[in-house]
Amino acid sequence: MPQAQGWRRCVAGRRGVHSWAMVIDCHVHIRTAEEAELEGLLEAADRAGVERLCVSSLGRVWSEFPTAQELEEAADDVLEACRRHPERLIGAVYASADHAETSVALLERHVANGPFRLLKLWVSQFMDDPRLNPVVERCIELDVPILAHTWVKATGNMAKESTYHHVVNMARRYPDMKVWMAHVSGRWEETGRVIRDYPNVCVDVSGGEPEDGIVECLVRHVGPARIFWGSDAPGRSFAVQMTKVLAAQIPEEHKQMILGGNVRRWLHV
Amino acid sequence: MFDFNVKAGHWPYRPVRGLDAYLKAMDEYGIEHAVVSSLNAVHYLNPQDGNEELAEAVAPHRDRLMSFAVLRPNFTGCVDDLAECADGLGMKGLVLYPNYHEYALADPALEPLMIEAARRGWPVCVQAGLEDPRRQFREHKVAEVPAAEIGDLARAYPDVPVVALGLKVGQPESAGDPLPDNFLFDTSNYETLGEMESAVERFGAGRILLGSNFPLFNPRANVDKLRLAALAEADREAIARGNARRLLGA
Repeated sequence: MPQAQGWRRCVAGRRGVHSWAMVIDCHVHIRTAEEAELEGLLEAADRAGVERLCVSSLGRVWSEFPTAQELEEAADDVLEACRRHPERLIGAVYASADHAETSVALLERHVANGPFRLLKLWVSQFMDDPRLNPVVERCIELDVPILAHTWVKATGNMAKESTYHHVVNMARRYPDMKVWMAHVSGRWEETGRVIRDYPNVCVDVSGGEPEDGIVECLVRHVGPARIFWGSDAPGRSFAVQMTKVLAAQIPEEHKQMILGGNVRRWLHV
Repeated sequence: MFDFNVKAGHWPYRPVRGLDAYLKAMDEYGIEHAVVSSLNAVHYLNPQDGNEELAEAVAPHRDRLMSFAVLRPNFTGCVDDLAECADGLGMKGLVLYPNYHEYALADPALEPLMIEAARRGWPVCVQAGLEDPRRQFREHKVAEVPAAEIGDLARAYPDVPVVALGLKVGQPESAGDPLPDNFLFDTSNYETLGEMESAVERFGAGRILLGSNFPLFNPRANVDKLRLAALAEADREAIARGNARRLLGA
């Protein structure tokens, strides 16, 4: 290919750069619902060809153990963001086992009776914490998937930071639960092996460095239908994180599934 | 485009692709030239063995690939090795791995290599971070080289272009204020939303080089990072190839 042509070529999408049906980023954060923040996010999404974004707020200060009030504020911010950009943003309830009642109430308000489509869990509890049971059970009733932060860190996890083992424990307890583990759990060479026998567990490839071979490894172990593309923006960039899929040595139809088709199936969007 | 940060060789902790795959990526993404250094040399006791392997691998592709030497100042004969890399193997620059090769950038033992690099007009790259520390699943962890120490190296050798490889967002600032004129960094691990736009605004496009960190990173990540950034075309062009050409006199 001529060099100049190569420079212009690459992704495509929302503004006509690529040919995928719809690219959905399953893992994006907002800190506030201020329009300047949202515009910056959506402008970058446009440039990268990202059509829709699943957004959660971890509160305005990202407390490791959020209060009930912080969960409420997070939901309010996501709701406001979704009201402003309903065609682009898919909202998530931020929940915590420390405030299970509040979490279930937020599910009622924003999922059962509102526009949100998923539930987000971060680092305030292990994923197999039994205090989460009522939250998970309500998610199953509402057919709402859970986006669960997971990492296996060589440097040591945070006090209540889940690994893929915690997720699998909960998936075993609730085979009807739909959960996707964020960040490929960090230790991506092993993740597919851990979740292989739990079809209700999927995985997103957001965050971390754009190491070569992540998606190929996952496809080998769990197939393309259980892999979701996400960026972890704004901490990471849409463009870089998408190349984990775009540069993968897998068939084009698998890329299309990972970049949006799979998560659409779970979210019904 | 000119990719200033490519490695070739094995990686002990997972399979990686080789130069053939990179050459295909060059065609696919429009990368005209690249600087390649030996990945094996990061782990060999004698990095010159890696340089020699690299020279042989690169030889058929000299129209597209330029090679840099990996050397360690705490290994006997390293200055002679530099001369052999330059005069015998056709290499054009130096890559340092202080934390893998266990020395400090302030170590006086580095001075002969820096003087020789200056005499030959070589750029000197310092690999700041090569791996995500959270994924070093082994007993021996290798820390990142602080940007401040790379900045000090640049100040100590103002005639040598010093290129920090693998810096993250927020780290170039640690190299000092003002940054030394001869301090540059590559894009390889510099990532957040809008990273290129803010980097150009903060540091100027003239300090930034396109770098892929292949084969540890996929070869497209930094191509798209630069291609999709909202930059003036002159700035994009400088990062894509102009700065590399200036450093290498190409």
